[in-house]
Amino acid sequence: MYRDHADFVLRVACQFGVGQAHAEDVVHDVFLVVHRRLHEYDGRSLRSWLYGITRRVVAHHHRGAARTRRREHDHAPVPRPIADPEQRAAMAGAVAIVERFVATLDEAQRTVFVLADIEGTPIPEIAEGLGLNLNTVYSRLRLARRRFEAMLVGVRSPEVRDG
Amino acid sequence: MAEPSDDARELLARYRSARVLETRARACVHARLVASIDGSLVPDRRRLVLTVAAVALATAAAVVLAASWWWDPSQAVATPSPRDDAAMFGHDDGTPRQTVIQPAEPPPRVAALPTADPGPATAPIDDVATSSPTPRSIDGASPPGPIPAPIPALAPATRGPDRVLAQELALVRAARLALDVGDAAAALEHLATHSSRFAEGQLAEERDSVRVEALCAAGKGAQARAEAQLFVRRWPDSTHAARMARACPR
Repeated sequence: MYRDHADFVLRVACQFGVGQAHAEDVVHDVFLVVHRRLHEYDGRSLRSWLYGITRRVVAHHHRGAARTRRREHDHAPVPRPIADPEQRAAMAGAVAIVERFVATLDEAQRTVFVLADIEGTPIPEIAEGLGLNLNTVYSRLRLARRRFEAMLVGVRSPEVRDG
Repeated sequence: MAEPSDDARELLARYRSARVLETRARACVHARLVASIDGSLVPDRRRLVLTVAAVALATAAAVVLAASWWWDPSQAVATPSPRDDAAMFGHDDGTPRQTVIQPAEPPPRVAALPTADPGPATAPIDDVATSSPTPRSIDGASPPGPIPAPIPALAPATRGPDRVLAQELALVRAARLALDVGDAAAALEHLATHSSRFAEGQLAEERDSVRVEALCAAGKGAQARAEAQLFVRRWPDSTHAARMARACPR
């Protein structure tokens, strides 16, 4: 399970704002929880289950990180927008664009967009895993996709990009 | 519904290939995970043993109390009502309270066992996961529920690989439960069923590790050690490898 889903957990952790350095800690913690809680897995969507665990482990991580920052008076730098075309073409650009976009989505749309369009999970499986009506999932995905396409137009448009 | 554009697909594909654990980091996290899991096994086993000991003590105390009442001439005059039984044994269902066994040499950590954590570093994470292991509540569309229902009840509603995993899990879990209550033969039967139906299943590694323990518990030490060696060869990176290497000592 670790072999098959570690990258998925890493991506979800990063989408929730965990930095690469700490994301590995989150991956470790998530699979530790999985090991202990595997008997509670109900046989529905495995990725939805992992997504939920990751989300909670990240929340826990953020609380700990916030305490550390308060102690150290340290503030994480705000990511700079990507303006360089070459950088945009690079892998790092794709990571930044996608994760910045995902961060703008509300929780409902984010979950569906991540599971469906980023991870390729079938829609019925998502609906079952989240306990949602199929139409609800389609509706949320439609809205998220529309926003994603609009964001892509903005990223590729020099006028919009450069203001 | 409109499908994502080619640009969107390409970007997302690039994202998926870029945001992965690098080989070294993957191995490093895995090694830490193995160490964490291996370290947490001992307290779990100790907890089980102490729990069984507590139940045995409670049962013994109840038997002693019942016998002393039965042979006490002063109690033989009237037949006690169920309420009297409840008062004597501590509560209404006739089983003794924890307070009954306290004088009978209780293990010092028994009272704290149900909530004892294997280690301070991992306890909060466990709590986080226990609150609700599925993401259903984040949408607010479903009421937050208790721990998911047992696999057999939900398995028919599942599909695809997850359904298979649920079936695998049910068999391995049944084997583990049988082993925990000392029924090694039943555990081996469940594992044989798993082996015949899911020879290369997702839980083959787990199955093989439980089988080594079951063989050992069944008194087949030589076979257990041989299969433990095979296990380590087959799953050198397994989280169970270290445990298998020292399984069933002579």
